[in-house]
Amino acid sequence: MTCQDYRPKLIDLARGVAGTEQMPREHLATCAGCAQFLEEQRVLGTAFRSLAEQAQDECPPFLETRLLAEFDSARQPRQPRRPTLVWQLAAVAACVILAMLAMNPQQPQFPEATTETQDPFIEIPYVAPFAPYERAEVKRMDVPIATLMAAGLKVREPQLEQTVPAEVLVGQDGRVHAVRFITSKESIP
Amino acid sequence: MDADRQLIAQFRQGDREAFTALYRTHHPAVFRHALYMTGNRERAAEITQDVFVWLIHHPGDFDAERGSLPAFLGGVARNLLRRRQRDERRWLPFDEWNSAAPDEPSDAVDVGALQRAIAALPERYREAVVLCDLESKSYEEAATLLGCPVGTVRSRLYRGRELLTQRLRPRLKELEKV
Repeated sequence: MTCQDYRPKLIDLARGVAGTEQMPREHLATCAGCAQFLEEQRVLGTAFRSLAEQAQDECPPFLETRLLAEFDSARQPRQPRRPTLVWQLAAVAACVILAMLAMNPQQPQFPEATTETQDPFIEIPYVAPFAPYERAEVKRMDVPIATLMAAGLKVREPQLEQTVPAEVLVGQDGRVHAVRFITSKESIP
Repeated sequence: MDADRQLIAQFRQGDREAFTALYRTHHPAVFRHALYMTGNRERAAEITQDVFVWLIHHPGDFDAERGSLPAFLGGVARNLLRRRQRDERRWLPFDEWNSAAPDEPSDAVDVGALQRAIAALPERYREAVVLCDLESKSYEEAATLLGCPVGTVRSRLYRGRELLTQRLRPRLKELEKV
């Protein structure tokens, strides 16, 4: 057996664990290093006892009060959740906005096209599709019926000299890709 | 132990006096363990508070068939200590990281030096030293509490004591006189 094998037994010896009194004594008689180790372990044991004796004091007294308060709050029946401050502020803000709207009779201005044009866009025949990421623009204009016919759209009662209000979808290169007719003439700027 | 069972049963039914009695009986051991493990009274008090707050909110978790109440509270304390140590290590300010290294020996010789040296031990060795040497638990009791074999407790205790001896060697003789 080496010194390393004896050391745990020496700790048992220093701690006074029963049944180990006789085992390492022969080794201790011949090994100064292990004898010193045993002495150090005994000193450490004494210091542990001093520490244990000095550490007998208790928790701060206010801890019991805090814990009893926690106990009381945990035992109370849960109240239905009250609205949080954020929701209360949101409700107040909503009331203020509604009051301001009620006091100001002016209705918000929405783009007329959204309310007055209900027809879908009609694709202009034989126009190359949009390139990827190509930007398009919607423009309002009075489109001559002759132009519509020239673009390949069928017109039921052709009156070549007249125009129709419409929104046209124009690509970046200026070409018209689609047209949507506006049903109300008043919406044309 | 029967008294604990009775108090726990009353505590579960909302008996405030039973909780007070449980706290007064068991908080010194919890506090001492936390104090040995942290080396800091304030942290030890916080851990003690957390253990009993946990008990308040988990009254049904203690099973008397599986062990005693002190062992159960000790286990809760160890888990909370580990969690706290993990969190503190994670959020250690940059300029303080180096100060978390083990204490260098100073000229002051008192049990505080030993306490600090114990608190600076790696956790697994510290637990063995605290349980076996400071709380005078047997190897078997410590093994049960730590959930490991007796041989592991002995080897951890040996390693912990060895580290403490190395750290405190310059003033072991003086510690003997304390």
